[in-house]
Amino acid sequence: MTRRTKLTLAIAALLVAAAAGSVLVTRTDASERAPLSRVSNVGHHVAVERGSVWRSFGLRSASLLAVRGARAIYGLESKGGPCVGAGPAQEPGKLGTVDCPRGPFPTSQRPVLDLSVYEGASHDSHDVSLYRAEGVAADGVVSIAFLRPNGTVALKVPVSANVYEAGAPPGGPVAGLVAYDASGKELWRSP
Amino acid sequence: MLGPGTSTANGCWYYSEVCSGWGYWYLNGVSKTCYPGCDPYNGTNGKILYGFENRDRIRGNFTSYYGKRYVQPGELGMGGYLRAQVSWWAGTTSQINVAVAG
Repeated sequence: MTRRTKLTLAIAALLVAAAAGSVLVTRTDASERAPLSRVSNVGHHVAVERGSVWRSFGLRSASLLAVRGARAIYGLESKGGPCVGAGPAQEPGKLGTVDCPRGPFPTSQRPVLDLSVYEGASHDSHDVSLYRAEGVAADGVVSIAFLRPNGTVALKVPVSANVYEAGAPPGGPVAGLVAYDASGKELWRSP
Repeated sequence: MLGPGTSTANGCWYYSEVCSGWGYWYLNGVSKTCYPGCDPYNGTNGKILYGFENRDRIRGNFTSYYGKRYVQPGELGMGGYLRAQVSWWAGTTSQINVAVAG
């Protein structure tokens, strides 16, 4: 084998290795992202209150994703696309809040749709506390942490069947939330 | 347009806020556009708080995403004589269309 042939073979081997590595990296990235682009829980159909204002907003159907404590969380279909909603658990189909994002949900860039209620009690500061925590998260999200302004964890709630809820959160200021995967790796942080 | 300093000048809870008059409101509906631009996932740099307020507190949900939202006072643990509100919270100015029903 000539020196030139050896060099050609070495370059070819390097190119093959690089291509294989690239495929591996691409597959790994895709497989990591995929669970963040899905909500596997399709729930079960419930009728939205007859004659309710929601129908006039184009809501076509509702699926009850989960009941957590006193709250029911819904996946909704509207004429504008998918929405999520919530309402009191004791009145199935009664919606009290609806969020209809335009564009894809969930995605790796937005794996959580937070329906939590925040409260401010001062006119002069933007400190808010959590009145209630709830929302919908992608398959790959196993817990949600609500953070204090200094970055410490105020509350951590598990995600089960794509839903999280905490009806009696601790008091004190909250300044955002973080989504974690099963290994405790941070997946997303609220804007 | 809702940004730092935007006000309806009718005594809202925050300085940078638009709010309705007082009433026995049923629903607050907010549509946030992509203004001044969305990322590929329809997020904007403008974060808003939308909901209701009374004399003691303001409550609501946060969003910075393009889309439509509706919330009733009872969802926020509120009732009675209220104002519907949308507050600028952070980032760039948001373009919103908001309506309250009573």
